[in-house]
Amino acid sequence: MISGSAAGRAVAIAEPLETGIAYTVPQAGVTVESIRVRTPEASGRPGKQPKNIRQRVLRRLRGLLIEKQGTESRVAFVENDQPIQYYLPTDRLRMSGIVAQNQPFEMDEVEIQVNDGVPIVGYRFRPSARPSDSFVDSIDLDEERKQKRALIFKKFGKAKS
Amino acid sequence: MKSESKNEPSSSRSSGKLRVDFYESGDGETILITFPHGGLGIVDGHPTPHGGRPPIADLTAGKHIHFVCLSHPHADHGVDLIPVVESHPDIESFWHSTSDVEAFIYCITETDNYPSPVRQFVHDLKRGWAEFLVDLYGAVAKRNLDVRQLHSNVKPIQVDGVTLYILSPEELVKNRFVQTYRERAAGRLKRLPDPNLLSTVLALRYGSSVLLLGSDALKDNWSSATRRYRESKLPRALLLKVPHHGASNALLIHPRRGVANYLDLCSRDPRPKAVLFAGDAKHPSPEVYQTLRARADVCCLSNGLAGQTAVANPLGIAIPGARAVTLSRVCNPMISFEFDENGGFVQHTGVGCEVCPTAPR
Repeated sequence: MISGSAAGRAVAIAEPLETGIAYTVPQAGVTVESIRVRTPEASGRPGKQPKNIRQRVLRRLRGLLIEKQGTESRVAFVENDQPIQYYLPTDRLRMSGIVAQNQPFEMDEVEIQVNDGVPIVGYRFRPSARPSDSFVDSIDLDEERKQKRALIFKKFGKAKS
Repeated sequence: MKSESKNEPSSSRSSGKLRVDFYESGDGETILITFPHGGLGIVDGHPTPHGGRPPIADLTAGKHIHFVCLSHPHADHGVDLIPVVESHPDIESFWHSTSDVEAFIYCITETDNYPSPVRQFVHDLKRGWAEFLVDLYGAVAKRNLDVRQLHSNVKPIQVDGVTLYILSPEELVKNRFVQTYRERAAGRLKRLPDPNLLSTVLALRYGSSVLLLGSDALKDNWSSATRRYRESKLPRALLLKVPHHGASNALLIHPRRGVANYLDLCSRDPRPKAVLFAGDAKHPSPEVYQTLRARADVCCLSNGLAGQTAVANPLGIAIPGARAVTLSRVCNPMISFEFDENGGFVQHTGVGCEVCPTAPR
């Protein structure tokens, strides 16, 4: 059995595919992690051809987890500097370690082609930071709201019922 | 705080009716209660992006407001209360359920964030919520309005012949928030409990008629609210504002024996009316909606299950279940009921799901 990382080796990444499908330009610096290739001898199935797996990233979206709502999670993708909110299956995020509120992540849309078969599109999630990387971020209020907050502290700080 | 005896009617003639108007409000909620002598109570307020109803300033103009109530500290229930509190000339008091407002506001002006390219978007999302609360409570403070904090140990409140029972939140829940404030003040990074737990559940009793306004109360809230409802010996409710936009985390669909859900508080004969605000495409839960339809006459301001033809997916993400957060279809711009003291009621505006052509089947 031959095994090992395919990054930059036998697996062709970002090779143009001659299928007539319009693809986006792949992004630089993308590698495929831990693909295993099994030889015909080791597989025990005579006559089976070695797989030629080609994989490339079609696009990469950046996002953040807003909140988990049971089996679905509310996320925001940032596209053209605008957040677009989406529901995604919670399991897909959780299995990739995206579990904390506000945790940032990347989602790659990946095209995979095995031998000369029809390319299929899949998605790969990757947290951009671990839950333990979080820090407390203070919301900066403008001057008018700072004054309102001072008024709130004055009124509600003493008037408890 | 004003005494209840000062809670006088705004006109000398009583209509003998209690009217409740529900206004379509995008993904939020707006409820106006007109008391027998014409004074108003406002429970939550949020503008509509669809333009199908007048602005809240027009709805409240020239009327005495007994109370403005923020049922819990979420923007979808309170954005439209800001202009009312800022400029309406005749407001008697402001009601809310937020415990230790100053500590709560301090907590929400801090958020967990991460070093990443989307850091600013996290910041902006949280800033919107913080600004909403600062604007609303700032207006209350500036006008020095009479403030009443609501929780389930508050005695029933009399307003113009109507008794309002506060069934939620429990003080225990409020204490969980206070404990979190303390831990954060001590430098420990502890997340606030779900603010929906602060939801004020109101039961309005007018003679033998009862209306139940469920805010965004969750299952936890209802386990005690149902008990308090029964302890108060209230007749079963004729009208229910469905809690939390019909979400599954508010309704025990198959409760254990001896455990009640909010539908158990509703009348059986006559069949109750259930009013649903479900302004985003994720609400209501299909299972909750089916349960509601089986038990009540459902009328929707908006319904995420209604007339769905295609899933919004502007980014073209081909993951099963992936879809953009979008607003629901508007079913009724306004739904109105009028109750008398003898348990009679009339629906003036709005159609129910049984005759609505876009209602989910």
